[in-house]
Amino acid sequence: MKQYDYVIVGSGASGGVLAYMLAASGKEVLVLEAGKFFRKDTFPDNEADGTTQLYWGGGIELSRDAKMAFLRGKCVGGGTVVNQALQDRFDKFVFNDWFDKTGIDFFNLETMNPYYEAVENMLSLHKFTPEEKNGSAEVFTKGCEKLGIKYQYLRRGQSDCATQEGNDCITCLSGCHRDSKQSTLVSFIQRAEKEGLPLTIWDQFQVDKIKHEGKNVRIKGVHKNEMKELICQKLILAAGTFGTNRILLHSGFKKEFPALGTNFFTHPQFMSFGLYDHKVNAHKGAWQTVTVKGNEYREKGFKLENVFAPGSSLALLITETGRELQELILKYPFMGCIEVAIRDETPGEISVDKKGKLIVRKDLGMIDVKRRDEGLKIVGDIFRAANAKRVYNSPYYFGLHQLGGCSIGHNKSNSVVNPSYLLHGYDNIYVADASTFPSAPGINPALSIMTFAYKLAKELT
Amino acid sequence: MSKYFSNRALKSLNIFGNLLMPETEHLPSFTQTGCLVHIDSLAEHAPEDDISALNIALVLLSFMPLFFFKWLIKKMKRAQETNGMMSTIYRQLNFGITGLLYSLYYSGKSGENYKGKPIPELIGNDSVRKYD
Repeated sequence: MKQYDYVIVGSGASGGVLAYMLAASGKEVLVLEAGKFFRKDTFPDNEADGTTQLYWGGGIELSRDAKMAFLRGKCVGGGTVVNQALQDRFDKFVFNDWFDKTGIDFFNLETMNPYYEAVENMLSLHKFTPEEKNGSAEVFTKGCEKLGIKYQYLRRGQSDCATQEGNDCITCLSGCHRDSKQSTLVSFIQRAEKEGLPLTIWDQFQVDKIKHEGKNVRIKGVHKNEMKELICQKLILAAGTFGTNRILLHSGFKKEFPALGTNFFTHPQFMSFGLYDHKVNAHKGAWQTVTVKGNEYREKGFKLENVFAPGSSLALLITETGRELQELILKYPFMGCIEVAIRDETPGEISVDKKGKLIVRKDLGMIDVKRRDEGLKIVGDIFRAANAKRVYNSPYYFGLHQLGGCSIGHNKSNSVVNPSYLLHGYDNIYVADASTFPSAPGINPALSIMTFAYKLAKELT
Repeated sequence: MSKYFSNRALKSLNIFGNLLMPETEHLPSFTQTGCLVHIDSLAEHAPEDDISALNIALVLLSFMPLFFFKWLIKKMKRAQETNGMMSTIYRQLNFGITGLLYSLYYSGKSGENYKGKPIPELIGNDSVRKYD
């Protein structure tokens, strides 16, 4: 088999950046991606196929008690293909907390800002304007203004969404059919292809186990339904929090790293709907553009953003059934929607069964519940201030950002990787994704995951 | 015919489908759309163990009377607010069954005999993909 300088497991926010950067420096890189290699013209064109083909678990995965559902992308580009591409930097609040927890000195804005700038320069970023608000954002801002709540426009990775020409960006939850959304597929992997870099991608390769063999690492997995083994000299695990934890746990590293699988966070998201007499059309145009502004919400531990869901996802969020469901779903264009995403304090735990199947325990603690309730109360107030006829809080909640389980730190007793993103005590197995986060930042993590990956790539080249 | 679900399991899915999404003045029933014929295109991407367990549960349910399906739907929909092992099972069934059925129906899948408008259009979900 051809020898590669690096084998990277995963092609999402971290893997995609590392793949490009290492290949751009002349390294031979092989990426193993469990999902399929879709392009803008091959992404599914309807919600059902998009959900089942682009997400793990055929759509959703559940916590052990099935109270929380997790969404994570499974395709080349990973979560960045199916997320909303909101690009926020972590703030002082996050880095101070992480420095306090780990003592790692690059967790500060002064050190990280140049890396953020470098990554941002590789993306097309767009800050939304008042003119781009759709009806749902209009409801949000109107309610905020009446209540004296400050808000701001979100920044998104996008180049040409053509919302003025009638394109509706909610459809890109099943992949962007315009190559506008700045996924790592578009911004890094296809860029590497265009530049003719030495990057090879094997899609539909699910890594099952790894084994450290001195100077080499053996990788066992299934490639397009066939068992496969390969050996590499340097391995980077960037399979996302669930993927990376699963591989390490199934490979038996828990005995060596007691912290493995612990300290799992996920920014639980709760959705609330305001029903109006007039058409809101939350699914039209730029569908997620506004958030609350100010340190007050950072301290409170939650954020509010206008969002929405395609039809069948919306139905899943509703407990009504039969005629009640059918009547409520007809209000689809009349609904505004705001999410409460909390910075969760109560850690969950990731483990695997004998077959390597993920088991995720994640409860909401008292602080988490308090944050949820406080957020939902404000959302209700916003909707009513904007003249909603009814406010509907979904009892279901989701973990869209899976974080932790392989925390970074100096000490093997309470962390898994060292400040160089190597497994403690190893010199050829790196872990470089959101699984290394020591706590929940409470901010959309994609840009920071890319930035930490960029920083690591710079250090490796 | 399905590669993943037996005929008895499909029968249960149709019963669930029509209870969850009955015909109304504005919308056809689940079975009227014929969307269940596309079940395999969704099931093939779900974990094999999950689909296999769901198939068994649906086969067992197919021997139950209609009121049992109605009772189970109520349990499934209230389970998010309760704790305990049975609640976990109800929640798993809820996500498994309604996840499949809602995806088929509300995303606009239909059989060849369905002549009505697509469900997304009927509920006002007129999202547009403008290709470049």
